[in-house]
Amino acid sequence: MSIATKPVPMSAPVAAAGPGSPAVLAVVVTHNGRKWLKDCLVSLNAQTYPHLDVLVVDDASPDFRSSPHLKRVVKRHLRRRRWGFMRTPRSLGFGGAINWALSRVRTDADLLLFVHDDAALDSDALEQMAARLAKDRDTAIVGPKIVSWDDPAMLEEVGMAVDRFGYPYKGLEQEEMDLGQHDHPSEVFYVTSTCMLVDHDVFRRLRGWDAQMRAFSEDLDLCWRARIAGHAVRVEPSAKARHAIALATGERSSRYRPTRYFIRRNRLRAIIKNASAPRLFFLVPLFILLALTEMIGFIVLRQPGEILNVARALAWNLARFPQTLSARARAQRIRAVPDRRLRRLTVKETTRIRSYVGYQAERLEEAWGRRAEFVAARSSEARALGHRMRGAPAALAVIVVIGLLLGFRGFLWSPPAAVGELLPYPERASALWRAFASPWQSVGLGQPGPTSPSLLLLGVWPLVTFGAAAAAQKLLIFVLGLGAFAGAYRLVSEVVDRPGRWTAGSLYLLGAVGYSGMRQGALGALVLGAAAPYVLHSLLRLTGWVRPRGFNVGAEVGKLAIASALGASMAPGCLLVFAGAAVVLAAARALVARPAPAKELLATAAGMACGWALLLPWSATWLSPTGPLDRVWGSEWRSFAATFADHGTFSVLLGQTPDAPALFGMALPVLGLIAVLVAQGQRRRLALALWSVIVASGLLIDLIASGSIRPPVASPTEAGVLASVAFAGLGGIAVGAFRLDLKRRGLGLLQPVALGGLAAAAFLVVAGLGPAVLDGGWEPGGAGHEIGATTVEEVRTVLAGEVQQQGQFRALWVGTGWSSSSPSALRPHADHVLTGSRGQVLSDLFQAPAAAGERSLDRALNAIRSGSTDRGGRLLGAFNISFVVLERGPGVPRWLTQRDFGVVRDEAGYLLLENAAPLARSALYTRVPPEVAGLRAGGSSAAPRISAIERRTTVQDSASSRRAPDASGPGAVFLSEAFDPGWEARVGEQPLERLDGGWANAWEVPPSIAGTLVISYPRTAGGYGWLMALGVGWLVALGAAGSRGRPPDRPGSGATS
Amino acid sequence: MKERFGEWILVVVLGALAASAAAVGAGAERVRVSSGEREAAPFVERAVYCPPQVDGPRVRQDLGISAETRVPGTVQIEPALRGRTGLPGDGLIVRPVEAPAATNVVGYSAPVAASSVMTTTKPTGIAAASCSPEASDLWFFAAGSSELSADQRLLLYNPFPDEAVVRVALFTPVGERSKANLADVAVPSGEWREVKINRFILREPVLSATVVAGRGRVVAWRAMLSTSDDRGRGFELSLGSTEASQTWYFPDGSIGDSAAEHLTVLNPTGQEAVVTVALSTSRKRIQPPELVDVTVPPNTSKDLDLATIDTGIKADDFGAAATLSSTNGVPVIAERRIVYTGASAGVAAEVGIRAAGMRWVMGPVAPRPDEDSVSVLNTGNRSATVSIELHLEGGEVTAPGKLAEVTLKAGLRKEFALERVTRGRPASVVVTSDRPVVAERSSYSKARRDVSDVMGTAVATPSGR
Repeated sequence: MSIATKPVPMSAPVAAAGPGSPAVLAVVVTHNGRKWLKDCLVSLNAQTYPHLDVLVVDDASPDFRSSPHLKRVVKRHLRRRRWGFMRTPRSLGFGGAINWALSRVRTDADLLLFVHDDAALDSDALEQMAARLAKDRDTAIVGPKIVSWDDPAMLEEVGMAVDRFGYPYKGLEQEEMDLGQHDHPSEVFYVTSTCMLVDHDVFRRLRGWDAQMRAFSEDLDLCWRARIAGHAVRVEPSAKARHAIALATGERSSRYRPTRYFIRRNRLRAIIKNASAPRLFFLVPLFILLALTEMIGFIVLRQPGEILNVARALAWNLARFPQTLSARARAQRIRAVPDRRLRRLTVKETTRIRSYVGYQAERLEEAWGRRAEFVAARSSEARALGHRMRGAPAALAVIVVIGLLLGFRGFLWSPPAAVGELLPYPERASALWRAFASPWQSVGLGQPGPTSPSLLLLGVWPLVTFGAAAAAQKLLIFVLGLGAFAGAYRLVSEVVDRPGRWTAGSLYLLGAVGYSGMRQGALGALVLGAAAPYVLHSLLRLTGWVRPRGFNVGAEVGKLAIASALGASMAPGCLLVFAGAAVVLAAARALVARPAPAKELLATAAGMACGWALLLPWSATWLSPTGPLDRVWGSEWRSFAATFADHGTFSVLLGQTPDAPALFGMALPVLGLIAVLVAQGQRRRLALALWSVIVASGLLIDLIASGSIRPPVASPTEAGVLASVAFAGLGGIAVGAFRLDLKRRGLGLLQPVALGGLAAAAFLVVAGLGPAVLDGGWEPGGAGHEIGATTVEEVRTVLAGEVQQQGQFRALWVGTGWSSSSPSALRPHADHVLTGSRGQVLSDLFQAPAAAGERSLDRALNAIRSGSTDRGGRLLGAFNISFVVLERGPGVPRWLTQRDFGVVRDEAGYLLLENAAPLARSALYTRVPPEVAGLRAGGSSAAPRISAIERRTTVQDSASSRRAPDASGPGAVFLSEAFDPGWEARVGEQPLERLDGGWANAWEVPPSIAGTLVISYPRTAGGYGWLMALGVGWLVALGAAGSRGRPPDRPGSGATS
Repeated sequence: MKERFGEWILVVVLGALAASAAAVGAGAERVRVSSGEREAAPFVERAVYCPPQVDGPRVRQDLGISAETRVPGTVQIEPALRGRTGLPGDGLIVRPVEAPAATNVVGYSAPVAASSVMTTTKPTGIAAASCSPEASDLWFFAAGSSELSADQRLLLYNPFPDEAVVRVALFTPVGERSKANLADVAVPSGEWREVKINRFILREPVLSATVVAGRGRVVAWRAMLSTSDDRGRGFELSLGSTEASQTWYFPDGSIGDSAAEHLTVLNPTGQEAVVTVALSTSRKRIQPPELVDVTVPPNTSKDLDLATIDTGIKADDFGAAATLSSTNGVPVIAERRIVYTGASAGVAAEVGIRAAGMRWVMGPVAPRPDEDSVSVLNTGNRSATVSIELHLEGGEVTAPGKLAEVTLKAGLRKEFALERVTRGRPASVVVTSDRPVVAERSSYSKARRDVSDVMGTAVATPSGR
């Protein structure tokens, strides 16, 4: 304890009550407040109230030893009063410092006056307040009228009201003059800690201030606790105090910043502590919802720091929730007044909204002002372009539009693509979101576990199209294409003019991403392709190759995190490719000029680490057995590496990796060479950087193809995306250099070479794209998919019809034609796909692999293929597979000899078989079906002992209900979901004991038990916690990516000094 | 200036890297993945489908069930017999079928092969056919007739959970004969139908048939009861073929005064087929000039009467195997029918074997046969070493020395008499060879005055053998 030398006698009472009037102890807390402390002390010294002692508590001000010593200041200005001086060992905050001081002095003062060091009372203020307290027996806390420090005619506060969320409301107009309009004593919800007179007994009963709050809103909490204990809080307008509001206006340095973080944090704590239980039930969720809404608003306002503040506030309360509950128990123990009696002192939502909107409008005005300038500039450019679009340019534009329509006709007018990863959207608009959140998976073997947040992102589009699944897919691809174009456009935006940017964007859109990705149905490559230009752009900036004005490392890290997370959400290994590219760029930069500062290289690593973190908890499972990265470079890595066999440095340098029209690809290196030869200065350096990326990509692909390293990504398309972006950038630089640099060069060989090269490249582009345009080459699945969207749609229609009759089931699609021709980590090459009853839909792409279940299913399929069984229906029935969609091919006869399968449809391209022996997804049987035990992974190789078994009750397995009434034992519940200890089953209230159910879940129902059977997968609080953290993380990253600097803290409501 | 120098350094580094990577990449071996062997199938439960009894008085049927491997297993006959019966490795069990229904013989833990032996009393006859390990939507039968003395029937069995609807098409030497009543023959799930062909078509001396399932799958056999001297007297039963082929093998065969062998070729395609038939005896391979490049018009069948052709086979070469090949690549179906008129009279018919194998299993083809033999044809161009084992009921296995490791020259056939080993006891025959061969078993029963035969069932060679 650090106390000033010989404080006022600590062993003797500080103040003694005189006859007739209560003794008052004023406690002044100061922290870096020398500037105002003198006035404060002088005002206390001059109080007309006789029985006043003053205790000054220095809350660990760093400058207290400065001359004059703080204690000396106190002594000098409190000559008429008995006084004391104490100093806290470390900063405890306003309430904490008072609690600390009062615990160390003995006082029998009847009243306590708490005063900020930047507040100065009128000489009769204490007398008036004490008189009010004495007059109203039920009043425990009284505050004065607060006016401005500099202009006492201006009102600052006459008591505070709050809304249901603890948001403070002054009830004053902006810069309202004090004309006596509020000079009537009134009861208020709370008075601020600027100056408040508190009954000492009540203060003791309330157990003092909440020291955890440190700063801001601790006054709300104290008054709220006094109110629910049955005491009144009043304002005595005849007492007046000036207040400098030093902390909130930033005039005083403090460790309690940012202000809004502490305000939000403490408000939520105050609500949790003081609101009654029924109100709390809906108040806290609403508060969190409002906080999230606010975060989204801050994205619009491009204030990532504010988003972080909100997130921190929520996290702080989450971390201290148990302690808050203890504090709540203490506060509620003395409750004497129900919440409804306090409602008269709270404000309506409309009042709060009006106040809030009024403030935010100022900020929006500022933000939108910037937007308006931007829009105006673009509008004038568009008008200028319109004026120029006459004659030949207009004709060229028409030709380009017609060419695009022709080339993309397969995409624009065909039914929704159903090839590779371009699967149709589920019929329900929210299906992807539900698949993300629910353990009751309709696809795969249903193992609950983290899923890629891509489901959330891709799930946006059906909502945008109001549930129109077909339109959602086209919109998604369109947006991805647009994103890819814009990314390549931005890549060279700092070094070339508009024609160069357009060239870069167009080359990239029509090249690898648009052509190869769409033809192969590689959604992962398309998403990665859309994200890659932004990643490369950020890497170039962070490694110092491009350094625009106003470069903001934080914003760049945010962009890098988001872009790399988007790419990795479909192709996790791309983070390694990006990291490799960063190393190559940094090394090349070190060769050419000064290397980038270590801080920025660390920021690059941090950006990619954040990208990984934004995909948690799914990204934590990448390397687990059967995780997406383990699939690619685990035991099956050779099958992925084999797809690289026809690619390597040579094909990358010739623009043939990823696959594009051959001649078009050859135009890219020509443009790249022109860029290096012609460009000057920063353009040339950027061209060299892009060539570094291309060479490194080629090297990587060669190493993978030769088996020297295991593939970090699943296909050459994914591995070559950065090279494709780099080539597009080189194309843009070539055009830019031709327009901007060539004329500065002296006449020589360069001019004809550049001209000839550009002409040759233009010819190659036209010759390469021409046939593709005429053939409608940008067609989903155009690259060798024999099974088209129409076939898949036909099967889905049949299955949908069966759903009407049979309810939900699983369908097994056998044949490589149903899977992707271009493998990806999420959807590797496979000769079978397991789907829900609606057929192949986009959520199938994200089915979590279930190790034991997958192995069992493979064994069953092998038994069918090898012909060792003709009861494949029963084996597959254990997986709740009711239908098999069989691609025509060499293995078909084996399936046709299975005695459990009936032929539903016999078409040229496929056979649809119905399984006569499927088990229900979940049902109560007389015992565990023996074929299930036979399918135990790694278990006995003996034949499953097939015998009849009675199904007694089927559990209704719709999304909303998993229960079966009137279930009774003895028996066994079997759930055809991959084994997971999280599944629970109970009959009535009695939980069931687990059985060894092979690959799935089974429970024993003992005899003499009856009731409703319920199967559930309870979510833990942690599960919800990470969902929330994930949302907050994305919001922060989005805000950071769009940030333009830190806004000043807002003075005003709720922010006290 | 310094930056300019750095740029040049970078260009040189990149160029060197690219050149070396391209050079190394061009020479380096790429990772390739061949389709590896599948994981051993752990679940063994497979049925073979056996024919229903033909309609007629006092028809009796026995099933000979042979283990395909040395792995012991259990067998269940559905639906005629309830309960499972143990089947020792390489064992044989013979079970009579009481009900007239078609049956499934289900092998658990180890695969089984089965043959059905049926005896009739009107006319007196005996016939055997393999039980089918598969069902199909397409079945072919090349031989057949609708003459007055020939009562031809198609036995259709649907063991699947969905109803099958089949169309029976008939082919004569002049073309296809469609019959509306045979266009939609429904075979309900788990049931069988017997289609009596003579009720639908007038007399045709050569009448091939196809069974095409428009919906579902079936198993089809052809049965014929012959009662004339010309066509022979007796009962014949043959399992159809599920696909056409360019090559057909018939290991057994009889050419001489006391036997009339016919090869009927069905060309179900829209192209003309050109076929050549070669004969193999135990001494030499013969190519009769008249059997070279025989044309079979599209959608027709053609009967080749080997008895009327100068084959050059001497009396001591009585047995002769036949190999039919389509020389223009048009797949056909070939079925052989032999009419025995000597001391061992009777009729027997079988669809040929499409592909050679290393191990063949043949169940009993007659109860207590008086003559029993197995014929093996070496289809390759190198000598094969053939061994024959007989598996008797109760798990007894006999392998007489003279049947062990017999050398069979390329392209030749050999007939092995078994009756002295079996002595009337039911036995299954397992033929193993170190090179691809084909095998057929034939028996004669004096009591039934008929010949019956069955083509071998190719099975996988067990590991370690």
